[in-house]
Amino acid sequence: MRTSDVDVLVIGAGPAGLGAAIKAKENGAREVLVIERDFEPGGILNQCIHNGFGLQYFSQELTGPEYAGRFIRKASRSDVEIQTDTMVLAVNPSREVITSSRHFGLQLFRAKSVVLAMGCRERTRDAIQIYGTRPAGILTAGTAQRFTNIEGFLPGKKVVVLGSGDIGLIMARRMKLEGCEVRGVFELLPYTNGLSRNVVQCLNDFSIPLYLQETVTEVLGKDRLEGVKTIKVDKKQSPLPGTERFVPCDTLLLSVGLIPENELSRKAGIKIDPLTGGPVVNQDRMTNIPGIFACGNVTQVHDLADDVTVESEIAGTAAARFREGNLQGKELSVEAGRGIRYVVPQRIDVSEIKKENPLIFFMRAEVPTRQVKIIFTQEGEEKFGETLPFIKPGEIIKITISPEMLKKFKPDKNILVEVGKGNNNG
Amino acid sequence: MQKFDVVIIGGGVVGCAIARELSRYKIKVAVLEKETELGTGTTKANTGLIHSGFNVDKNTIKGRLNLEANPLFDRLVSQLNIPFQRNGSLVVAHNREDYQALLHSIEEAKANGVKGIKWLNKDELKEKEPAINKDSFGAVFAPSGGIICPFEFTLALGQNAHSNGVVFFLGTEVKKIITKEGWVEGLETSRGFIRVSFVVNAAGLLADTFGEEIKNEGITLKARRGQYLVYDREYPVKVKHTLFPRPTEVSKGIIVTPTIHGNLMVGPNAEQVEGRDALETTETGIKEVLEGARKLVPNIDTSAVIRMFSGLRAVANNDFIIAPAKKTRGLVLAVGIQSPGLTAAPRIGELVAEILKDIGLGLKGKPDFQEERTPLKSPGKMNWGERAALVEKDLDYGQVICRCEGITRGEIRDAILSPLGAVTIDGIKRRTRAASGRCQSGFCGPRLIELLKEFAGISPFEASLRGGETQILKYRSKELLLKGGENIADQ
Repeated sequence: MRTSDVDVLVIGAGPAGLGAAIKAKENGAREVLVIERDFEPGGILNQCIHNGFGLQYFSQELTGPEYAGRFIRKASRSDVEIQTDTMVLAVNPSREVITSSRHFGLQLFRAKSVVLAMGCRERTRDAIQIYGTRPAGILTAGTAQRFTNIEGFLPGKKVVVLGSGDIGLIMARRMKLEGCEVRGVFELLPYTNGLSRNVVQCLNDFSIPLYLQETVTEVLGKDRLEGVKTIKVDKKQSPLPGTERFVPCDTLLLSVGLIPENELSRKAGIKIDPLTGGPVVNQDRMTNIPGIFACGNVTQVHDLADDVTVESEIAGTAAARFREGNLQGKELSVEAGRGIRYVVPQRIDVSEIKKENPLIFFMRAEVPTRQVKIIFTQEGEEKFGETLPFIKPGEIIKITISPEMLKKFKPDKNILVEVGKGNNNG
Repeated sequence: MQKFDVVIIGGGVVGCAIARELSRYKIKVAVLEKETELGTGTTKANTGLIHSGFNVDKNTIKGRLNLEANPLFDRLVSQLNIPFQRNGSLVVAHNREDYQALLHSIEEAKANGVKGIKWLNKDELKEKEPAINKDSFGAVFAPSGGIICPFEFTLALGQNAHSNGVVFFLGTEVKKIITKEGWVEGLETSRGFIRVSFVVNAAGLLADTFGEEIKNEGITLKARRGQYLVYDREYPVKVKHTLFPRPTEVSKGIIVTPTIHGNLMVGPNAEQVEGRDALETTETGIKEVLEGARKLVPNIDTSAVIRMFSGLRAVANNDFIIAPAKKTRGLVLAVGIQSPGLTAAPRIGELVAEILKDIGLGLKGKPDFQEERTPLKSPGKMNWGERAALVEKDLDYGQVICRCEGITRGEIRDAILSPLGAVTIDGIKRRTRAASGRCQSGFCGPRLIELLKEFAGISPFEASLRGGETQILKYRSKELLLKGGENIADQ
């Protein structure tokens, strides 16, 4: 097996991996190698041919491939090596990485630091238990997007979308633009899971109906999908008898959640946060294993590629600077409290509080709420608060705490992040 | 038209086991299978258990064959080169009444020659199977119970028969058995007439559909459906043994078991259904399965389900029918093969050969019979050194196509190009496990379609889940727009 040493090895050449690799290079890492399993770098952005990327990071509206293209070109200019069509088979806690490819065979890399940037995968029909037959015509929205935008095929022409995640909304519009009849987007919850702008631009602008609190329970059709049975649900998601209907269709696209892809991480012994599905990380996006970092959708499922880039730059910078001897080892934990589903990072290195860097916290709300104050407390005492006009689970919340404000925090007490009392639901 | 000595109708585990057995002899044998792949009926949706024979009635054919077939598996799997594990069965007593009934069965099983069978008390059970319901009273331990992949087993039997000269006609439907003066003369099929002297009906759920000759035998088949749930290999709830509740008169009950590939699987329930293709899963059925499973392992939930499916068994009466036909000479029946059909299959093969001999087929052994089957290569099961060496020799084993199960281009190529190769996505899946993982082909689906084209010449529009009308792609991008968009969608 060919064996080589590298400074930073990045797993995944999507926006997270490329962002991390470029930053690692800028911060002094000499040999930066990105391993990508697909034939091209760019990750899932390659199939996201719609626009809406880069508004925050570049202050410009780009398509997915354009956004990825900027990083691919920059990586190439910065002398970042990308090995495509290569799969990582194993990572161990000593940062040895085994890869397999059709071009280089099996290779062993010994890395000073490793950045996990494998992204996420889609939940499937069976994961949410839709009963019925097993006909052709049931696909996850992302797979349908790949078929349509990259492979050049359509799976059918009468489409029902289940789930109002962003990919579901984007694909509802995409199928409509392809000349399909889009029968509607069904969502179990009383609110959409995607960005508000996608509801407007993908559904409203194209007169695609959105059915909230209505879900697909069963599929029909022996060989080919002939339709779906739907039912309305109440606020507790219990089915309302008598509201069943049959919606004829030949294609069902599922946008029912994304799951960070952490099989490699788990096998390496990395601790996973059950709330995010991603590794527990500190402010540098370092996992519980020294020298192994994680960023992008492998850490938490983001809404925007721009946020993935922000997170990947943190991880890439830290990966380049990582030296085993410099570890402080003393960390406090950040926990999600009332009204907050999760917070990233979940840990903070104590010495960080004394530094001159702001800290960005990513979090998701449990329910849509107006006029909320998000508060950071230690031992029940509020240390920092920020008021927001509106929060909803489908839109990530980012809160930046400046170095001055950070000084108010005690270095030895855990932090709880919660929604302040007295907020109105809805 | 071709002429054969024996034609077996049905390429499920029973048909393939009979074919392999007959391939030992100097006769011309063919298997006719309606679908484009082997093992797609009752066989594919099977619990995958090699039953110990605990609790069988040895006066029934199914009971006797179970007892006789179980010990054959160690040798058979080493010849066929397929994975098999005697993980042991635990028949769990929930209370004293179960205990009494099961104690009685232990004595019977011992008398029937079931090896190593013994009672485990509560503590011993807990130690053996930590996930077990704490309220369990104890269990019968039957170490000879095992797990196998029903599809791999069937395919291996088929491939071994094929390499010993059996001809397989896939995608070939039998319409009618043709007789002359009470003797089998041939078969009317979707590909024309086949002249044959002996016919074995191993057609599973369709075994009573081949015209008058079968009707005259007075066989009526009913379909019994069982539903299942399969879990992600990373699901933390795990069992080592196959766990059964105390069996009832009708069924072995809802089982919790590891599969040979390391997934947790639960099921089946047992429901009588109308028709022969009611293969759907239902809310009631899945709930029943989960409730049954939780009696054995209370922690089981639905958080890591990767697949739900249902299977149909052909039930004739309470027993298998393996016998010469009463009215038609040259016809042998192997029908009503419900549970434990998978376990009994190798003995069914031998029994059918004996019956054929009895009714006049001359059986002379082939000196060049090859009992070994060469398995497909499996880089994921090798150590790093072996794997690196394999990839160096053949770089196709270096490209991972299915990321969930780690299946390579080389393995998928082999599955398509090997004898009785894959021609559908399900066919690739059952041979290699590509697409059977947690993403359920979300990522590798498009690549598998490309590989079917590259190695089998199947166009992307013809690529299907399992033949029939199950094609995955319907149009080219922009095709609907060029034809007038929604206007044609409405038609």
